[in-house]
Amino acid sequence: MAQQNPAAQAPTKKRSQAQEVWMRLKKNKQAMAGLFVFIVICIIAISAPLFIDYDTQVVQQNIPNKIKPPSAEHPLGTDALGRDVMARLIYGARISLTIGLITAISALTIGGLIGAVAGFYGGKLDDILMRIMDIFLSLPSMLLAIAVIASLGSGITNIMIAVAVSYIPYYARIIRSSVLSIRNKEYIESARAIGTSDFRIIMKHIIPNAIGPVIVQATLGVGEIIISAAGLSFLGLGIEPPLPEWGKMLSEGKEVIRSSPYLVIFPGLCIMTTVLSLNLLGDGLRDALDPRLK
Amino acid sequence: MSKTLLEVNNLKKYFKTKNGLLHAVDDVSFTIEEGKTLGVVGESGCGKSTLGRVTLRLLEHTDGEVKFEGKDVLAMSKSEMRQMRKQMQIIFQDPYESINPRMSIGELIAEPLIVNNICKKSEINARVAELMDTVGLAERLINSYPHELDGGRRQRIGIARALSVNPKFIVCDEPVSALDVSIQAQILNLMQDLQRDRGFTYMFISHNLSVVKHISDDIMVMYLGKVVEKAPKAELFRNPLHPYTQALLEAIPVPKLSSRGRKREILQGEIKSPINPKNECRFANRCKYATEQCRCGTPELREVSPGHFVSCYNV
Repeated sequence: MAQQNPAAQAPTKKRSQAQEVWMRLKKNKQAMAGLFVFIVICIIAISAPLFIDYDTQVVQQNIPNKIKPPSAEHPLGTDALGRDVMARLIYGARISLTIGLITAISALTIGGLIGAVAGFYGGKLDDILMRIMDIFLSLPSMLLAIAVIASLGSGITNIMIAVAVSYIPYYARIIRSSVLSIRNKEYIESARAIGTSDFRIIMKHIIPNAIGPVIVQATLGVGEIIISAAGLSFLGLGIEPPLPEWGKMLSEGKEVIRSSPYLVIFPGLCIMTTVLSLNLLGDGLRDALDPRLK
Repeated sequence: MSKTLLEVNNLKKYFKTKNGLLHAVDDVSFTIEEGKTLGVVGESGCGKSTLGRVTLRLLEHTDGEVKFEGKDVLAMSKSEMRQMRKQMQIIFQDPYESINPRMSIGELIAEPLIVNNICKKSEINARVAELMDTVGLAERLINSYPHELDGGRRQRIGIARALSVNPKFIVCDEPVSALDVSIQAQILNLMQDLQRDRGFTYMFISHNLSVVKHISDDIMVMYLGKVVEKAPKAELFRNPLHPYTQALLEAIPVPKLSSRGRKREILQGEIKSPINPKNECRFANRCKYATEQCRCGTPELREVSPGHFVSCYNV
């Protein structure tokens, strides 16, 4: 196997955890395909301003030209307000990916920490934290998100906060249950005997062993989050109208789904491709993080 | 007579269970001298592992004291305890459970060095290599993961981790019982070599009498949380006084043709529950010498000859 890092060439040299994971991930074709597709989507999203003019192509309405099927001029057609669907999808990637990724990562981080702490310390702290999570779970997540937005106001940041809040309890529950099964393993006791601090035990021993099921859940979550954000936009609580966002475009398109299905199909394909690539990557990452599955 | 390193006085550990208090370790006292090995034997569930863990404060005690070089370990604050952990280490029973499967050998051995700031970052690799060499792990294994190694090599990782902080005292909690017989000898020899070279003090917990005989200076026999007999190795094997010790020694298989068909005293009955024990000799229900006295009070550990302690009314 080719080694990019000269430091890793000597066989007895200690390799870092990240290098090890990357080496294992490289062997997984599906994961690499997922990574490739995801990177392509990201590059397109990032470089969008280079080949699309936001004001004239994405926002400006052109009513006489509305709902045109795909043509040479508009490869993916135009929407109900005569705007180019492809330009809007490409710009939409910037917003949807931001919402999906940042929300999933922050929900995972906060939920994961709450779950890990609750599972690790147990007892009263566990009871208190998990009852709070139960309260959140008992509210329908859409209602919870609406309540958050109602108090914070609409806008992309607030949407992300609202959706993240409703996803935190799920991640907390998943992590807590994995942590509970790991907490009493002898290697945790061994780490403690060696003088390791609680913080390091959680970060170095518990989370790496508990993360597997959550990573897959989180990559699937990115898609769900994009859809949730779209649902909020649909209710008029999320993305403000001219802004292109995949979920929002999907819900706009469903008004004319019979006559012009492409208005639903293309945004749907975008969400699906993103979620699929992330899911393949997540699956591979879970395996790569586990040295036993080499 | 050399210096006393560890002194344990009236140590108790009770667990609360649904059915009452479980007396896992009940009023155990012993001392270990520097550079010596105390073997702790007893059947499963007699509290030997709990004793080891409470001594190292991996479990909080119920009552009693553990003095390491005169300082009470059980009264230390969290930060003092952190310092103390460098002095007292443990080698675990099951090398398949006691090392994190997600860390490479190098990381596993480097961890205690990093956590305790034992050496500079730049020296860690060299130190890890040195430790691996000491415990007999080939250097090429540094990037391997535990699942790629056999039990003996895994146990060597556990030993290297314990050694890395330069402890004085090591609790060995059945370190060879999960290993093949052929590997047991290697690990035991490694531990003995280390003791000779570095003057370690061991508390060696095992249910295997021949292993304990091989490695110990003194032997302590436990039954249901109590010490029933404690004596220097030779004395204990020559002159076992407690009926339980006698039964244990009887049970060692003798690989001799002439002892075929030998009559043995096989212990009858079941071990009693350690939950809410009555005030009686805990061995009374299985003991053929048991008298009325044994069922009315708990015998104290007393010295019958110099260094030989036994807790039995009939001795």
